[in-house]
Amino acid sequence: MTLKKLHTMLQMALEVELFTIPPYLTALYSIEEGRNSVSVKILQSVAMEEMLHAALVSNLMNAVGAHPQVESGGKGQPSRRYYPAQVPHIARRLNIGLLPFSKRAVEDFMLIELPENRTKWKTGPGTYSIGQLYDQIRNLLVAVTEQLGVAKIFTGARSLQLSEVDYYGAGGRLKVVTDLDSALEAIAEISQQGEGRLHSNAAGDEAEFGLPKEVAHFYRFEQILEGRFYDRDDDIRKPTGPRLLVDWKAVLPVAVPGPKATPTSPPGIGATLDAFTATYEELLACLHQAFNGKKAKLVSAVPIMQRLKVQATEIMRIGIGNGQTCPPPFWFIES
Amino acid sequence: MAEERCSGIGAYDVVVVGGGVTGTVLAKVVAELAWRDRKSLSILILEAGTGMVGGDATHNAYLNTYYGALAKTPNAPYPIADNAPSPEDLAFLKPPQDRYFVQRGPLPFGSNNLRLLGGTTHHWMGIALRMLPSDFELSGRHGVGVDWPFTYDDLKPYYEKAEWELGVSADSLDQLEINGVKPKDFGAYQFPMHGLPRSYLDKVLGKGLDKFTFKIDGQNYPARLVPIPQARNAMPNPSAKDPRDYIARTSENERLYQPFGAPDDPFTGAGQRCEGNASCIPICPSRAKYSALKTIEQLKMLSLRSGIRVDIVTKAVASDLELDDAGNIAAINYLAYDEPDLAYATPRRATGRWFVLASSAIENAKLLLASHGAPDGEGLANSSGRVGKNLMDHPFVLSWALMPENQPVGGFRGPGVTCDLPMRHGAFRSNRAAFRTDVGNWGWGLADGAPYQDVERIINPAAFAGMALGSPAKDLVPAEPIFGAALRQLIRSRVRRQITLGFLMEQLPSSANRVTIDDKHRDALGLHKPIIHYDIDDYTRKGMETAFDFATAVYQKLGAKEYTDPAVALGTEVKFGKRTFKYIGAGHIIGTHRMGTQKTNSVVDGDQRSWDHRNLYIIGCGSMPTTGTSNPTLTATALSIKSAEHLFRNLGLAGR
Repeated sequence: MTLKKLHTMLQMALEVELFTIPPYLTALYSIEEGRNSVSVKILQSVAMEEMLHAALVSNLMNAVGAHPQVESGGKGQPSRRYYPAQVPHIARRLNIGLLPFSKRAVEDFMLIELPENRTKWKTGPGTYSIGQLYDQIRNLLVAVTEQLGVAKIFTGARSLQLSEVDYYGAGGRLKVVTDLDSALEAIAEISQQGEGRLHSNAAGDEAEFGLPKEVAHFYRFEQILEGRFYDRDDDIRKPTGPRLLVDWKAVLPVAVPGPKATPTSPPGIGATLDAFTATYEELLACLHQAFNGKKAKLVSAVPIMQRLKVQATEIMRIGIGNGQTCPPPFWFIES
Repeated sequence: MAEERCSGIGAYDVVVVGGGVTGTVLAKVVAELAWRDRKSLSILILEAGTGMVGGDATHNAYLNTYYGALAKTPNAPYPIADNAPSPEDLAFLKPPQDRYFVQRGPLPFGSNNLRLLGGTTHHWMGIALRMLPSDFELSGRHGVGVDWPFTYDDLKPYYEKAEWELGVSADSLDQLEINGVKPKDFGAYQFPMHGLPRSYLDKVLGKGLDKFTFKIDGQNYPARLVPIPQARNAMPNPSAKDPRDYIARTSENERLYQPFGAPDDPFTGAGQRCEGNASCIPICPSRAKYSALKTIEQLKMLSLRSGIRVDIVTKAVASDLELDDAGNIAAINYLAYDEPDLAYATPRRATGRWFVLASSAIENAKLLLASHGAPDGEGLANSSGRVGKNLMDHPFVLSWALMPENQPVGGFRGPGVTCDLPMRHGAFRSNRAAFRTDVGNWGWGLADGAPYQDVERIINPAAFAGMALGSPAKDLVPAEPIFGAALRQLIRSRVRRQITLGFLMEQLPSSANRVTIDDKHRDALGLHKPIIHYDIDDYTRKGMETAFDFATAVYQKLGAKEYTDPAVALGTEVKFGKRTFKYIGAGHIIGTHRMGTQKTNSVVDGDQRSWDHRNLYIIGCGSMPTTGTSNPTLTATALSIKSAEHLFRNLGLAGR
């Protein structure tokens, strides 16, 4: 019973990770070529780390005998849903859309990546933040492992685990999960990079490798809003480092809110949107296979991601009236 | 770690001239050894050019310059200081007196380097293959050239370390396909990353050339398509173990390879991999390709962790070396400039205990020749009279052809070259040059300006009417201009069938091919310009003849139609008998301070240590006695590591 609950919660975590990626990518791709280079780097780094997190969750799931679901709409699969929408499996109100790069978008991203705050966690029913979701998973994992023993929990085949051989490139390491220790490390890596701690802005990597100051996602975004980098000794919420220049106007005029129905003009837009949809489907199918034993598919996914970027940018240049352009029709999954 | 100018350059343990791959790898290995053995150490690196350690801002600036450049030549993306000029890519555009190299002929030396922090690894292709065992014994086996002071087996452990230092992607088993390589030459060793995928073109050609052999001087040689080791990030090999015993480790786990990507990038630091951007020369946008900035970044992190002092001073052009009374090097004098293009500099002096010249073969020779400390007026480190001599390259010649209509190969994808057709080893080497083959992934890009030239020919045939084209090339020019869908169809059909075989020709050492200086020829800061005497002998020309015959045989076997035409080819004409070839430089500057077994026949010993001044190492491709047929960077890196270990043993850090 509790093991099943663990499987369900891990699938929820996977869906949350996958939910966050399209809003980040939309903002990222909406920035005019060659402009806002620091913001581009920040968005890119966060999006890449969310992909790493999705892969880590897949490893966690496979380690405990669950089957990650990435495709949607079929029997036993999660359903396909569109933005703007409430972040799945999060109880507090958190409605997120596909926005071009803007202050509002960055504020939304900070809400997604809210730092750990245990007092808030206690006040309401359900899961307050992504950080709390991982905290619940951690506790449940420890509890069921104590209850049933490692051998009954970590039953997944080692061959299903994605490793650095299959994936690298983001600021973090794709850990192989085989036992409780490695599972807790994987969870710690996700929460440190993403939400960080309330009283510290450092992400894990910095402490581990002596790299330049790398702050958790929430604070990384905050730097954009504040127009200033965190310095090495800064307290949270008060960056005093060098100026970070942002040009909020060097952005494609993507419609906010997005069109209610699929746009039909200008002529040809339908085919362009269909092509994007097909590519996104292909990408998710590829990831699904990679997460379920066909690890080589992760490499095949790379050119598809590049094609998706080209197609998304093309769509964001198509005028749909009022001087506004079309957002890319990303979806997310929710079970 | 300071990049700004240090006002008083005190005595360092080690002073390195040159911030490129050989100097920085040497510095890193010495620093790693000091950290492993918990010794304190100070290193100074002087870089003549400008430049910064990585960072997105710098990389993006180089990238944008590249995007905007009309001629995308090797040095196009990079800032070149007037005060530390690099040899021009398109020297013919300048009047001779304004060029950096003074070419005395009879033929022009076609290769250049980049004087910028990180050096020529900014624009190199990233090909990192070893020399063959027979390459070290050319004289002993074939009676031509000279032997190295050691064998392949002696250098093998350093090759392994160099492959891990640069991050080379390859599979050992593939390398055993090279004629002249035996299983024991690689043993159980594994490269840190698996080989890059073969291109579609490689696969089509591999199938077409199955069991193909080629006869040279009466003997048949297998013509096998062999993947080339590349210093660019691919898939790490989880079962490979790090051979670098100079790195301090706390656990066995640390011997697994971590790909290293963008230097100094706080967000995405860990190892961008090759995305097939197809612009390795002049710049890798994803930074999967090795550049010395990565080594500098690792050196910086090591310095932070260990407290080892590493100062890198850019805009510091070494002008000469000073001797002490005992005949050792006492100091390096250099000119420090502020503005790259304002001919004003302050003379400074860097003192130390050990000195390393790592500023490329031509600059090393020039610096030694320009140092007047020696009584004979022949410069320093030159009792053998060989400084500057035996300058070599791999003269590069191109052939090209179109595959049959039904066999497109889909070029313009991936790194420039993923496979070789090696003709590197055999009895013919006593008679003619060996060569290796760049099986080009970028169509006729280098040979014939594709795809731009293809479009030009079709939309503007009149411009080609007066040209002395060979008969096959005439077929490519239509009678009337073609536009629209027909144009697109024709381009598509042609461009995806284009194949190019480029040959890197072995060149023998000759004292007539040399670098000299002359007080009449000076650069902006008043330092000597290199004067270059260069020719290509019949040994190499005979090899070219073989290479083009080989190309023709390959094209016949594949059913491809050959379009090789010296009239339109890039480069300088050379003749052999009735045949004409055109060559360009391969970018491989080799020779000028040869290694050897004795003070009388060489400038440095087998550890690249000067015979004449025992606290001086002169390192890099300049030490190589012969060229073999391998792109030389990997070998130079292996030599750097060998020298670094030797230097560390001599450093005298006891008691620290």
